[in-house]
Amino acid sequence: MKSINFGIDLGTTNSLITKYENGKVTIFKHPIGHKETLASVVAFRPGRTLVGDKAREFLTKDPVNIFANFKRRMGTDDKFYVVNLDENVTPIELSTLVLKELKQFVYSGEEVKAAVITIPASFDTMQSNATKKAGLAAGFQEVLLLQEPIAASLAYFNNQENNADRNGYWLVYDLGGGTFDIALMQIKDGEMKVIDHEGNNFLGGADFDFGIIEKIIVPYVTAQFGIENFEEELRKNNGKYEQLFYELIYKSEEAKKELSQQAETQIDFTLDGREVLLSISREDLENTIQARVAETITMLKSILSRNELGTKNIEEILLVGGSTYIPYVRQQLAEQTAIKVNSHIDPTTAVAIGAAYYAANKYYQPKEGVALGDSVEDMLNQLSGIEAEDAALETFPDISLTVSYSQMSKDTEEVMIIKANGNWEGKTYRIIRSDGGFDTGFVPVKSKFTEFLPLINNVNNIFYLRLYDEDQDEIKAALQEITITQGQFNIAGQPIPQDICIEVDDKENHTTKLEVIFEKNAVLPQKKTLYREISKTIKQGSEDSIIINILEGDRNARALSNLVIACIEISGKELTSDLIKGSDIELQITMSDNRELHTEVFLVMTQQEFKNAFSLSEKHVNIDRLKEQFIDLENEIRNSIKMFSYDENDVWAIQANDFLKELMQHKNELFKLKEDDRTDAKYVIAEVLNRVSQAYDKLGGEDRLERLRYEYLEAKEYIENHLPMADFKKEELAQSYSKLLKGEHQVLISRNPSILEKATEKMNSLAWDILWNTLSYIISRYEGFKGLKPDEFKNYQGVQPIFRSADQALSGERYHEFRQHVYSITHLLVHNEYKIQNDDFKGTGIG
Amino acid sequence: MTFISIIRFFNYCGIDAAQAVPGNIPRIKKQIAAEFSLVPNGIIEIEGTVYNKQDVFSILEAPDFAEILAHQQTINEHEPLRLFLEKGIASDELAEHVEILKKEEGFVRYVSKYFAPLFNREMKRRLSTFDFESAADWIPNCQLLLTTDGEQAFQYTSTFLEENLRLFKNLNKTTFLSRKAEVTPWTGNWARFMNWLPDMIYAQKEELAIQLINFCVEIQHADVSYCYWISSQMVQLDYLDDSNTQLIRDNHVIYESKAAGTNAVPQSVSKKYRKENNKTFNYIWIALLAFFIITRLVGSCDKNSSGGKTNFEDYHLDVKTIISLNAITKSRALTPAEISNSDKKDNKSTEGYLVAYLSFLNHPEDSNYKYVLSIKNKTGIDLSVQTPFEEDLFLFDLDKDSTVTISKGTLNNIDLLIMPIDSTKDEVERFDIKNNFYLAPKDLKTFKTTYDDTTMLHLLLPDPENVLECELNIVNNQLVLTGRDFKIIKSLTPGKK
Repeated sequence: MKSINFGIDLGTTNSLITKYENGKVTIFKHPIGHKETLASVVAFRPGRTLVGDKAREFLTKDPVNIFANFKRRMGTDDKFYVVNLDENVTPIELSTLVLKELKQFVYSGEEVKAAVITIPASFDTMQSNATKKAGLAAGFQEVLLLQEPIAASLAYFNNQENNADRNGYWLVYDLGGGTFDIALMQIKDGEMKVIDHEGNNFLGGADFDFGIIEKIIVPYVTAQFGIENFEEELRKNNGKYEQLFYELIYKSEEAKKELSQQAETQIDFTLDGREVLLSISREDLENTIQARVAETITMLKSILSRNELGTKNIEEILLVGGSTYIPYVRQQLAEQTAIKVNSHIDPTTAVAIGAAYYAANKYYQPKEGVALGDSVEDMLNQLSGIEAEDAALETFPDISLTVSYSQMSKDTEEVMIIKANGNWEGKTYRIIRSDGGFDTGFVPVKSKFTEFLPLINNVNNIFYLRLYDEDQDEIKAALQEITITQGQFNIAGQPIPQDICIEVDDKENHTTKLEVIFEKNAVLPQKKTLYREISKTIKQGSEDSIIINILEGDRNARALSNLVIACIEISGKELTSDLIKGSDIELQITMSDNRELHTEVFLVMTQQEFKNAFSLSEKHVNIDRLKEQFIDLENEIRNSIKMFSYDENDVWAIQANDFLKELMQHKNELFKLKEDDRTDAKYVIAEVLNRVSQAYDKLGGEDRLERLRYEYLEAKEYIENHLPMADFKKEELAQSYSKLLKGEHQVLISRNPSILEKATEKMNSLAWDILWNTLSYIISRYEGFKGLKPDEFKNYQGVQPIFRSADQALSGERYHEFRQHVYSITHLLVHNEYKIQNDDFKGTGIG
Repeated sequence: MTFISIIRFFNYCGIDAAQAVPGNIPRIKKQIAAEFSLVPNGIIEIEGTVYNKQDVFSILEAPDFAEILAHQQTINEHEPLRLFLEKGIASDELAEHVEILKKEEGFVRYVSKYFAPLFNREMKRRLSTFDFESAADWIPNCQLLLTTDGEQAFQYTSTFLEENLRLFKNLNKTTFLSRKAEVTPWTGNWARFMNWLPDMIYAQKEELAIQLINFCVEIQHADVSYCYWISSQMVQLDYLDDSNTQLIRDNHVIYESKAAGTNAVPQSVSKKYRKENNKTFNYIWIALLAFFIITRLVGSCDKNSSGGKTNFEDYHLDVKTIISLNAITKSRALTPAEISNSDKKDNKSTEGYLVAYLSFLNHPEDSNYKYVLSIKNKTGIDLSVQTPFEEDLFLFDLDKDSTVTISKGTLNNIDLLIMPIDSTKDEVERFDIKNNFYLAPKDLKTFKTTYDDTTMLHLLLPDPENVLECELNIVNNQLVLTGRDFKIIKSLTPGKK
């Protein structure tokens, strides 16, 4: 096992590569120009491919063959058409080119076999996997992923100047070229941990650049030159002003940077043969970015309130990412939060440096063999290694040591665990610190042994682990040099940015719900076994199936709004016998440090096992399930439109109507689809559903949420007033109410309107239950039923005996019986007030 | 929540659990972190139990880690419990260990959240085959649960009851015939199971019982046997209100007569019908039913005859009722140390009276026993015996040489306050705090090591359905209550005779 040591910041705008060695981190520079950063830009010129600043130069000259900001498209199906090649490239392929270029920075000629690559903390599993794939395609044998705020923290706190022993909370505010992350970090007793985080993968400098175009340039041009559809032609593919668009993006970015240093700047460009010179002030820029910066501060405050911390509990906000150079950003943070803002960390290099610190304590198993591209030195080393091994083989055929320790520590001692493999009996070991200040003496080797190594403060502590044979002769080939740098932080592990859930049937409500497998902020790796039961019978050989959907997102949101990261569908055709409803299913779910998900399913009744290691290329959509989700969403939006209209909230009603229209465009097509359809239609529709669902959830913003909370609390108050008056099933109703209250806190702090709507719906449903178990109410409704006309009953003759029985029960004070009769009458009404149940509910089959 | 044994993990890492003291935790964490670094995927599996770093660290970092460790050591020492928590295997010996551990409140608070989901699973396993007897046997293990975990623990049971409620709601005499197989399990012995289910699902229990009443009415002609068998179980239900209980009994008489002469009425079934089900004393269902039935024995009023039984009238003391009740309440709380301290006091108020508090444990093999207590007054003086009943107090005279018989019913304990009827006339001074007693089995030492509640003494009845006969005597100026299997252990200060 070798430690990885190399770190890479694969940024939206710029990328870097670093290495940890002997307590220090080196930032590699471009061999030509000696710049630390590599622009994340790829240019496909005729006959050659350029990466970096050279590529960037062509952004305005040949924009259709130049690609930037593709990090934001990782994990999507997007493809970029390259005119010069007449073919498409994917975001992964573009990232691979950047990574390959970075490897050239390593001037020592050392082949970079493994690396830690940083990702935004809010990258979902698909985006993370895409990044890893890019790394493997770039030739790395092993790629580990590290969240950017963690990397920045490691860089900051392992800087000697910041290395005071202190406990407390810090916020890492990472506003980069394309993504935004805010992480709450805690240091306690020498340990650094991520407590919580928020982020937005589409909020960064690139959006500010576009804001300048959208809000300053376009209005100016439209006003000055009266060009029709200027913005549309600017934005659309193959539009009249497509080339101008890329030029404006480039120049807006330059203007934005200049405005960090000066109060005003100018953008010049040619439009339809005319020279245009536009002045932009810092204030103009601030106006365009105000809303988005406010968004970041809202997320910051949300993290604090979620963790019940005040601004006074936070030591500092650490700024990371190029966009934090903008004075307005720093000013707003200071004003809005009253927390000390620390901008001393170099926002451009911090993430890459932190990645190297992390890489120092991560190991990989190098693959054997001399690879093309290995340096001569490498080959010689390998050969000498083989010779040494041969020598060892001659005398001691089978012993090797696996050593585990941390290369950095804040403590005055560090533990080392050594596993001896092979013929260790009779042998001894000795560990000596290079200054002689520590010596274990000769200790008999065991199959596994532990040593605590004392450290000298703030230096690299070097230890030598030596192995001796039965004759006390040293086995030279087994010598290991161990270096531990005292005074540096390591990180315990990386948290998951979102809940990982399984979709299960909620038969009661004829829908599905999400159950958490791994909670947001759980530290990876994680493994869990779930025991569930099958909620419907699947006949052997039938078309019916059970669907195991693993989703990433918000546990309280509907399944549709979350991202499916794994899916196993087991159809009847795969079963060796019938699978009866109620039988058990065991699900073992593992998520690695790298967010790779592995699921194993065991059907107890049929004794069958199914495995699924999630692959980026697998997208699975079950059409029946898609249809159900479509109907659910359609109904929900329709109900909302009614409510908005009732409340005279036209704006929301119109927006909701737009969502509905978009949805309905696909309805016919969806309901014509069969399971064996080979087109992409189901994927397209699934994507539309997901997008509309998420957008619908955001409709109305804070106002809508406030209103929904108010409605919820109203419903709750109603129950509290009426529950004591219930005459039947009081305890059961009280229990139902307690059950609803259990999740109340999460409901009220949720930013998802559908969660609040569902919770209010449940409260209202319970309120109806209470009324229908309150004698006075039942009697009053009964009297009402008696006054109904015959055509309001499904069977007027049939209901008469029930009325008679009810009268008798009421006069005999047999209230329980009376209640049953009244219930029976309600079932004979034409206009039944109860919800119409979807009896064909298929669901996932997991209950 | 999934239980993971930190002790087992320590063993794996070669860490001595005794070293896991607060000052040493950082060191231990380092060692554990290094262990996780040694495995490629960062997950360690030990005999099927999965450990990840976060879970292990969260235990170590818990502010009450020392307490958690102690509880985990307890679990380790009780192998059947450990097996159950780690692998969900419910061995026959588990109940025994639950009995021992249920009294440790701190332990129960700890283990409840892990026990609940597994309890639910095991209950599911038993109920999925309608094995009511085994499910009933399983219920007492809920003594390791807190009420807050009760919902999770009985989740499947709730679902089970609801599903069967739906079944019975939707069957009529015609459709029943085609779905008879689904009803068949309910012709077996399920009453004990239903009786022992906790109050938290009372509503479902009640609803199911009511539905079964209606169902039996529906099928009484369609299938006499099924109707009778189901009804035979229903008459054993002890949680329904009086009107439903009476209705069930009345109906059963009819069903029994219909079923007479058929093979539906074997002896064993009849016998079962007569037995009452006793509610298990559960840790979490603390309020025991504190009533009993005093049987009036019609017999001779000859107070001079020895062995005769007394006719008496139950009546309430208006003036002294509350005082006596208070005395009983206070007395229950006194410990032997406080009792002996009171020796030094000269307290003759009625409030100082101690009570004889008799608590009946269930027979270990069968809890369907009816307890009958028979007390004969052989002191030579007339006594009065007071006992609380619901919110009130019953007083009855126990003349010399008379016997009172008290039938326990569903009661687990009886409070008795015994005093002379008229202290001015009796040769014994009024029984004050010094002159009272409490009961204990013959082997006090064993008893005390088993039961640590010193104000409530427990009697283990040796034989089923026997009358526990005891006598009140004055021995060496001490009031003594003796019985076959218990005797007085102490009387504090003798009264004058």
